[in-house]
Amino acid sequence: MYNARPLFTYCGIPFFQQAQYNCIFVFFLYIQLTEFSVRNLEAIVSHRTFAPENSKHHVSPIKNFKLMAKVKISIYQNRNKKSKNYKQFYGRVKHNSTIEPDTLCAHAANDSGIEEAKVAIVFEGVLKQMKEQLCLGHPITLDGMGTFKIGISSEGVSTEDVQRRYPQFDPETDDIRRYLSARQVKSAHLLFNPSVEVKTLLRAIKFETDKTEWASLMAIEQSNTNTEEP
Amino acid sequence: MGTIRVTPVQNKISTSISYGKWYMMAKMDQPLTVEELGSHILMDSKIERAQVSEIVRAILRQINELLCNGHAIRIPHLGILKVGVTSTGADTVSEYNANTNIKGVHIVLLPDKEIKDELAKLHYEKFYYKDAHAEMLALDAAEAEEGNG
Repeated sequence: MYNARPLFTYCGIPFFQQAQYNCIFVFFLYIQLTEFSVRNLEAIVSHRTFAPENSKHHVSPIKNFKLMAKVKISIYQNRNKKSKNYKQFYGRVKHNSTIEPDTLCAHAANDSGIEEAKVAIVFEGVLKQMKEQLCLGHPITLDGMGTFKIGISSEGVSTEDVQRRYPQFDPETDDIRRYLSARQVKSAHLLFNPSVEVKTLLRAIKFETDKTEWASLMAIEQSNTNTEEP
Repeated sequence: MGTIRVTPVQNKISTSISYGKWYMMAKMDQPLTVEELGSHILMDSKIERAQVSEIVRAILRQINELLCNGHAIRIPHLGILKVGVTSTGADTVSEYNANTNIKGVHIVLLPDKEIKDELAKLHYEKFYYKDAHAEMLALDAAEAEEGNG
């Protein structure tokens, strides 16, 4: 039991009142400790982050993310005659549906317990800001998802090319980088680099094949081989 | 209209057909976080800072969950996010096995027209910090020598 009586004596509180003050002190101490543990518990349950990402106390937004992820795979044949893998069979993801922003906001509102209107405002605001910042050359890191950034495609220039264009260029003494120009850039594109957590989730995905589709393909294949045999 | 700083880099892959050629590479700043992006929303609306972070985290959780369950997601102003697979080929349908032929899973980002148009309008500016810094030091040294002389 906590006893703060020496402190009360030091503060000049009479002895007969110290028992009452001690009860109040212990009660407040208990409330503070309980509140602290509840906050930590909430953080773990709802995956909130109170500590910085590099801290050992950091709780990842997608840690403990229980997932029964399954992706449907459909099969297709390579029909490109120029390809060395012509007529080979490959698998590709058969997407269930395209989730529109409204549906995503409804899911997120349900998850967070915050009004859908507020979720929609934040979603729109963050994405608009993301587009603007990306076009200013700032990469954007979304904790628990990955990094978006701009990549560029450029024309390659050799030392001989520079010599042809600039006769004054001396490859032995001059720095070639002085003669290179930003006009070499041909186009820009958007890049997405998933975080380690997302990569782990992707590795855990199970594949599900559409048996009826595959059976029909196999039947066609069987009939083709039967017709070729005689 | 944005300006992207680009810096010259040399291809040093000895097996590449473009070995030794010089290319431009985008020079990126420090990545921005959700908190920094969300700061302007706090000014525009009456939503609290904690709620903005909570909403963004909920959205990201949902995106991850939906992606891993085979849904494509339309992200406004950016494009469509979906899962793709890398697979080896099989000679016949019966020989193809998804669990052994699929070698990797990745996320595909298909940019929409809006972001493509914005990217087409970008300007580029040549920048290489190390050399600029070295030149500045050389100039300082030359000036100091002149002063001493």
